[in-house]
Amino acid sequence: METATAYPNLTVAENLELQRRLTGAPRGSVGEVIGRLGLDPYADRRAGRLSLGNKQRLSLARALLHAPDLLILDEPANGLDPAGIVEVRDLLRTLAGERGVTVFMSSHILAEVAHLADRIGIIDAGRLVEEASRDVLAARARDYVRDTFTEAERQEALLTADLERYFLARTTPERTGASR
Amino acid sequence: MIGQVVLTEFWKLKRSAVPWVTLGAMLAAPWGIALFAWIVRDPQRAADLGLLGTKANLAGLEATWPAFGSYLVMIAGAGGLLMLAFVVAYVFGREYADGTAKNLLALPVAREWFAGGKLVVALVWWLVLAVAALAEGLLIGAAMRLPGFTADVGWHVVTGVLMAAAASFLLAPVVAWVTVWTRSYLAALGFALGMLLLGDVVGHTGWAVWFPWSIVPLLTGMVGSAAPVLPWGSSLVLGLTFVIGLAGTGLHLRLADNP
Repeated sequence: METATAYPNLTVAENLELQRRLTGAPRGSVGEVIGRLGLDPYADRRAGRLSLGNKQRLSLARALLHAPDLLILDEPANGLDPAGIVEVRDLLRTLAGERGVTVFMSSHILAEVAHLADRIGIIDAGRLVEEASRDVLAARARDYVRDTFTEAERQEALLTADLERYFLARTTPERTGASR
Repeated sequence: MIGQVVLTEFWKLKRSAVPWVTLGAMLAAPWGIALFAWIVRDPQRAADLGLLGTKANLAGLEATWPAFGSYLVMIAGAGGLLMLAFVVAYVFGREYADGTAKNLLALPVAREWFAGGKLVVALVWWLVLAVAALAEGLLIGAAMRLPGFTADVGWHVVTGVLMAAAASFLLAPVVAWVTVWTRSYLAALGFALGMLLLGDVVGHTGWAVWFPWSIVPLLTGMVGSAAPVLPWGSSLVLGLTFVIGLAGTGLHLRLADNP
């Protein structure tokens, strides 16, 4: 879903219904995923007129229609605004935590990887160069930063992380739990 | 599941303007013939209105039912080869243009079924166009009160159009194959146009009965006199072309790793 696509002349609901019929998903699954992905206001809108973010939501909805045990996502947060990113993050956490769905995700947004993943693999030029749990990788990263970067570079990295948290808090306080 | 595949392929035409555009184009063709027939029948009035009577005379058109009917059959032939190619290229090519081909072929459905479903859509769409043009042509001819109508003439017009439409459709899978191979509408349309031209050239040689794109012109009278019945060899060629096109399209989709 790196590049979200859909039949542009069909509505969101019709695109999902088409997918449902071809995957044999249950009848009520279209309404369920529309609600879960926040696509209710767009259900009757033609897919060709959706924003990129909503097209991404539609792509994710298609993947969830048949209640998979394994979900493979390629850049799921691509094109989403901060609120959408938080929504997808919450959704994936719910899927993994409450429904036991295994989520296999690729992303270049390291903050999202850090927030979501239990195990992280680092791929370079098609090779898996490292794989570990998040905590182990975080510890290795801290050691690396401490041993490699200057104080000024460490402060800059912290500032970037702080700025991201502050931006999310200002735009989606109800989701992050922060106050304006 | 095959039923669902065919149904969903028809769904994809929902709200698309393309079927209406093709219908408009096919329905315009009989009016063009009717205009020339009217010019031939009333050249003075046509000249007064600024239309050239001479051109219609040089075209050898007569304002009679047999002549009018023969041109209706040619519409289903040559025009059909191009229009049907457009329909097939659209039905298959839009998946690549819209970027939905990858999603489609990743579904738990045999890929050949999608090719079959799309050809069913193209067949129904093409039949609607051919029958609509035929019905409109018959109504126009009746309204113009063209002389020379008999039951025999009417029967030949109807069977001629339907046979030309059917023969054209047997070439459709090859266009589908070109579309999925090149992932493009334009290459398929270029291929169809090229074959139409080549078919016309070969149609004037002694090999016309053996070249698929000359057989329809032969059948409809675009080259030589219209053949009322196809030679057995031509029927075999058309059948083989259909099977090869179908197999090529299905195999390409099945083996495509990154469609």
